[in-house]
Amino acid sequence: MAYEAAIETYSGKVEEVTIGKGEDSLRVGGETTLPFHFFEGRLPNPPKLALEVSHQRQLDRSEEAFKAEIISLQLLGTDAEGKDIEEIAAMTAEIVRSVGVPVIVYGTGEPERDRELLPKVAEACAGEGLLLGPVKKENYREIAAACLKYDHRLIAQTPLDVNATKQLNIMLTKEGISTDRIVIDPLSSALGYGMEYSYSAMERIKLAALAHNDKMLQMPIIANIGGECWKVKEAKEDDAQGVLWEGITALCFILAGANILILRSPHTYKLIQQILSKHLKNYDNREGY
Amino acid sequence: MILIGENINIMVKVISKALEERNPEPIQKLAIAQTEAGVDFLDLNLGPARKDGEAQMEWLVRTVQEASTLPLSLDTTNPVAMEAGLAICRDKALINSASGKQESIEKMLPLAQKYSAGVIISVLNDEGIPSDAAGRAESIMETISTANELGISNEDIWVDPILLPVSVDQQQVVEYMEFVKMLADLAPGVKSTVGLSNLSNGTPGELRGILNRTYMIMIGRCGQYSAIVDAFDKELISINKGEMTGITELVHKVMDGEDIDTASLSSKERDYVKTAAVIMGKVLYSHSWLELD
Amino acid sequence: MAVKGTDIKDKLPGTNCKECGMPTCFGFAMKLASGKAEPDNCPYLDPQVREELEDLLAPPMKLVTIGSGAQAVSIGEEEVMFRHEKTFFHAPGFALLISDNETEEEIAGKIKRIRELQFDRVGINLKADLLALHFTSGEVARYVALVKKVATEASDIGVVLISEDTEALLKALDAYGAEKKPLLYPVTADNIVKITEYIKEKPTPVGVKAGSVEEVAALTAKLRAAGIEEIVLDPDSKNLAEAVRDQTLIRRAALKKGFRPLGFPSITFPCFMTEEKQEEVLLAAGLIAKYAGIVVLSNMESHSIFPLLVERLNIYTDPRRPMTVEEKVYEINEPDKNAPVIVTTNFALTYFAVSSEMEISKVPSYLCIQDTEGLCVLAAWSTGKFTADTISSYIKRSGIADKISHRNLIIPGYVAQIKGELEEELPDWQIIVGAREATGIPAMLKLGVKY
Ligand code: SF4
Repeated sequence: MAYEAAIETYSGKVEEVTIGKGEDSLRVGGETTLPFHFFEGRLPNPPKLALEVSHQRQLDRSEEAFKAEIISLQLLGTDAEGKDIEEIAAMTAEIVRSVGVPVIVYGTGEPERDRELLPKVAEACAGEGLLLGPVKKENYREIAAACLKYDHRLIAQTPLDVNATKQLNIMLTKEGISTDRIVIDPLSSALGYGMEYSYSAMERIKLAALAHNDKMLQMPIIANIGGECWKVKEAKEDDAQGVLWEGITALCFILAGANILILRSPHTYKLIQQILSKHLKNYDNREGY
Repeated sequence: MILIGENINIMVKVISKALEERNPEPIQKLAIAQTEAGVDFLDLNLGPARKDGEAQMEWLVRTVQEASTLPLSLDTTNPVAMEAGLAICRDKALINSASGKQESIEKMLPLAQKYSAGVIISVLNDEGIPSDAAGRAESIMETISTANELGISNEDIWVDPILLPVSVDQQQVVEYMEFVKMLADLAPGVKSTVGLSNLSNGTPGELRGILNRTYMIMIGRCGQYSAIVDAFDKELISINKGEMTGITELVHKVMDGEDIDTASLSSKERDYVKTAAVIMGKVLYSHSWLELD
Repeated sequence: MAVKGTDIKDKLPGTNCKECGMPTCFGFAMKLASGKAEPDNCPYLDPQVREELEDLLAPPMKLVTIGSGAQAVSIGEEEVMFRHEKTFFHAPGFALLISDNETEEEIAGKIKRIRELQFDRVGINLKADLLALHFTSGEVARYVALVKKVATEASDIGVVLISEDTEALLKALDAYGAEKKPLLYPVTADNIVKITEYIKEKPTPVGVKAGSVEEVAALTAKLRAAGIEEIVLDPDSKNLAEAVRDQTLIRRAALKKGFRPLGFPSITFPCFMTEEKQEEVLLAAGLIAKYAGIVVLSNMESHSIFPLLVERLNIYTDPRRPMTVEEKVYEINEPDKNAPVIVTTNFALTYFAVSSEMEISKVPSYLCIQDTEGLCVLAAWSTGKFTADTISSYIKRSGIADKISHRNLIIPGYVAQIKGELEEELPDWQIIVGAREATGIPAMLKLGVKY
């Protein structure tokens, strides 16, 4: 029996989503095959890395952070500082307008709170092409409306349930959000704390998008792992271990199909960047990273 | 397909209240209505029946038998209540249900032999619900052998392959069909049944019917013998009578992977086609599956 | 592409005579397919059919065992491309590379390290499995000495013998002993004849190396023709993208095409793909996820091997079964009689999240883990496994009451609604509704739960 490479091509294609504005914008997704599968399809955009900045830490971390290709602002905890919604929105806009790279804004995760907060942020950052979320089934209507009005992209979040992910995407498109303005967040758990669930959810979404050509799952995937990884004791008790904890989690999700990774440690950021630049060569002359 | 009406169920408030008050009227009304709807058996679901199960079952069987001539399927996990019911059933009754769990083998299966009743045996065993067709086959073969040894013939065994909701696990729904296809070869002569409405558990209420109906067509084609159903789903009864051959054929086409020109179809036909595609696992399930192209 | 009962039933006699112990031939076919019966159990098979069956029933990817005894590592016999399709079965072996050029102390240190680097997680012992002994000194005697040293001082740990010099490799095999099943590496186009001859006499697993998947397949075809079936594959991938390609193509060929020459597990060398330590760890991480059978690492430190071991555990966890932890009272931060008591379910992730937050809080406390068959709090509650009656009977049998002087029990915020019932069931106890999310636990414990 002669060897014949078992090449598989897929009928589906992941949407290409643009975040940020103008010259500073960048594109994610757009692939026609599984992660790293240059040998059988196109992967026009390598996975993008975002560095997480919280409002509290924004100042001291700003220098390193601003070298990142994307900044992710986490608004969680701003309430605890006693800031009101208008203040938070204004502060966010100030940062967004000063960084010169595309910005992801993650709200508090509390559906009720975000229902009020995120539309205000959307308004204050009008035209900046934010990637804004998390949008959940409880609050998608209000946030979707604001995103449409002020020209942002959405992060649709559903916890580890592919069917629910699809359903939320359908609801968002019914609100008038086009599929190239949605990014899927299937909830990412850290290594050792349920990573395998997120890993398999991402693989299932990617396969549905590519092999089954499921239009409602063809959005790029985001893995927001910085906070998850650095809250575990294995990371807290040992920095070097923490970097690998975050790095391994990140790489696993890249292999499972994540298109954007939100990291917390600049060291992890550089490490993953190095892996991507050294190991994702367009080695067989197909169109690729 | 032989249909078993599921509507007399303790989970329904009216029924539990009637049972508590020993008020025959609401129960007899339901029994009559289901009989008129055209089902072949009536399921009497008492649930776990922990307290007072024996007396409840006796009363329930008597009450229903006064109102309907249909044979009964007695549905409780309490073997004492089960026996109390079996003892007074007019016709050959159906035990709903036994399984491969040790406890069930010891307490339920002997009742089938003693009262020469039919018995629904599910593929559940002490290790849980098998995850694929092969696992189901393995589990059920063992339980069937045990049942045979107890003197229960294959003709009296109604295999329940256990149906999980399509919103939970589409693959399982497909595996179910694979299993039903092999059942006749595995254990010649056995019958099969299923709690059909399980398929649409977790699906928005107004959409449950079409899922159940489509699946009935599909498993019927795979050789399914009977199903426990909502007796008041008129369209379901009508499909089962063979009155909607157009729909039935369309669903068969989807099963065969034929290309269907949906443009020429009515919206109802399109819905059946979309539903069948979801059940076949060709499209990932979402609550809005009927709204997608 | 594991064979199905339906694929083989037509090969059986079809008389349903029951002599195999199954009620029907088809039943027997199902047993055969699941590996729970042998063709021999049916007395009516003609020899040719039996052979066909045996061929059909052979797993599409062979199981290969390296080392002998309790510490042996078995890899291969995988059935799927993606873990959600079923599960991954045989986790890759981690091998620590030792070069014969290293000093005595370095070598002793590495042997010591692979023994000592063991971790416990949910009652599972996590550790690296193998030593890879690399001939780099150019002095055969030196290499043989290393091999002998390992054979005596670490006789329980399986080894990979690595040498481009075939003479040295075979000498090492003799010194080590083929009966202990070391993995001989590499078999290449140049030495395949010689090695084949040699190991016909002294069977042991071999690692086949060539520049591409196709060339690897050509070599394994030769080995198989010579009756050698204990094989692992190395398509010599140079970077992660190549590795993903090669590993994917190998597995697809085996599982989806039933291509026997590639129906073997693989060996991978992140240690040779980069000089940088952290990068090497991440390459290993990628290879664990993408089908490696053996992962050879240049070094192992606690902070690098532990996350890889956890990753391996995660990726090879059976998704069909929820991970559970043992039902018992866990003591956190050395609690005393006054320590607060939290009860929750035995779903491993629930346990991890809760115990980790309790540790972070630094508050000495007890964590009572109740067996809910691996369901999380909400699922366990809704299926009746974590309700007032099951919790109360667990608390009574857990023995927690003897360890504390108070009677305050914290329940997860998600089951706040059972507080009343639970108080009825446990009249001596005061039930306190705790945080909904584990992240709320430190704050709750630090504030001092108000009894
Ligand atoms: S012994 Fe052979 S012929 Fe007889 S039932 Fe078993 S498989 Fe069929």
